[in-house]
Amino acid sequence: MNNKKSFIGFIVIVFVIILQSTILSNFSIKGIKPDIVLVLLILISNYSGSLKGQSIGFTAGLVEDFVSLSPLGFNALIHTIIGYLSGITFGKIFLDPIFVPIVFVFIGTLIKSVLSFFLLLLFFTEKAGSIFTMSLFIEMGFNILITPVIYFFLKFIRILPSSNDSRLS
Amino acid sequence: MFKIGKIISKYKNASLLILLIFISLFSITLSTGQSNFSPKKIGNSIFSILQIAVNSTGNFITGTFNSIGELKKLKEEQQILLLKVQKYQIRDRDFLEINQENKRLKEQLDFKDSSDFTLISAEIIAHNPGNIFTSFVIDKGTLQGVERNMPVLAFQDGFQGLVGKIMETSLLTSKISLIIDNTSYVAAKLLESRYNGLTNGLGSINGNLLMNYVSKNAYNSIKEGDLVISSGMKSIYPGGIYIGRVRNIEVPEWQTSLVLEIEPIIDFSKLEYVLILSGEEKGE
Repeated sequence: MNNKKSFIGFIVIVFVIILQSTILSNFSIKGIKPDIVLVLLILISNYSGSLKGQSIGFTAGLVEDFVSLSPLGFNALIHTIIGYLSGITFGKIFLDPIFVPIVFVFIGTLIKSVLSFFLLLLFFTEKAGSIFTMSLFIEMGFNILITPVIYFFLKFIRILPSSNDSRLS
Repeated sequence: MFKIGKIISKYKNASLLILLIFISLFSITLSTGQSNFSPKKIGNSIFSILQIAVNSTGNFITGTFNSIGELKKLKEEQQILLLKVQKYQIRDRDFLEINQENKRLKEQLDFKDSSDFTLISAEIIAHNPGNIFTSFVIDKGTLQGVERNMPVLAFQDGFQGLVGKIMETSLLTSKISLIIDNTSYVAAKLLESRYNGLTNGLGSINGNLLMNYVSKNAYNSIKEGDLVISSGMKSIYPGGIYIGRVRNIEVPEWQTSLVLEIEPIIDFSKLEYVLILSGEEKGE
């Protein structure tokens, strides 16, 4: 993925963060929302490499911290690591439309929860217990359901290369 | 020195990762402090403008579509409301009389007038984008006199319920930490039996609260559906504001107190407007 596409990918993520906190805030099951930003980050990083992936993750995480009540750096740290890990597979694993992205998002959601747990344990101990509850399964299910939709959306706006394009462009 | 540069350029990815993790951790440590000036505050002010813009655009579009369908309904509702207004006018007269009587009685009892606060009304323009932290963003900030730790209320279904407190402020917006958040504690009491306790959120927008430290002696005086209000004891929240209703009573053998499950009086998932108690005396 070239720099221009990576930048557009970042802008899409920022726009989704704003949408998720405003218009899409009622899109939830039992108050649990899907993490659209996480799904976008995993898919974009997988086509960008770990250097771009962690940079996009860090800046997008900072934006999420600005608009939420989380301390500045909380989401930045989590998204940096997830962007980095998702980028490691660049050029090694080819994404099919459904199965591989879903596996990546499943693992990504788990990693996010583990990192959140340890950060909360360090800075907000009373919150740490709320991570590994039913809400994690609802969020994971939600994330998995929206993954193919987001995958096709990213292909449609040509951030992810279509099957005719070269993957390493 | 040259060697360090060589190592960094060789392991570019890992070096950047370590640097970004370090910056994030440093920033979390700064943000969890009580400083009035922080990078988070500056960023918050900038991105709140974007939130206001997107929220207004969304409201405008949905409002335009909905208004066409609602015109018909409005005529019918207008007739019903006119009848209601007449009823309320009669009630208003009664209310004024009762209010005057109440004031006189309070003066006699030497109570403090609870209307010493100035109310700032605000609209909720955004929710927390993630699931871990529960908060609302409102369209009033330091420019409108909102300050950290001010209590926030709302009217819903005829009740004046406690929403939370102001946690962060920027120029044009503020963030509310809700009473349902795990980090939120409110000194509370049962309206009928007057037993005191402490409520604590469970961290879910649709979730209940727990009320701890209620004496076991209260077991026979409490029943499901009892109202819980803020007690105002050593708290930033004034007393007498509704918090919720008792939904379950647990008697843990290993504790000296009861644990009550409280359903909040406010349905946070459909809340649109709130009132902030500014704490300044009302001008006469």
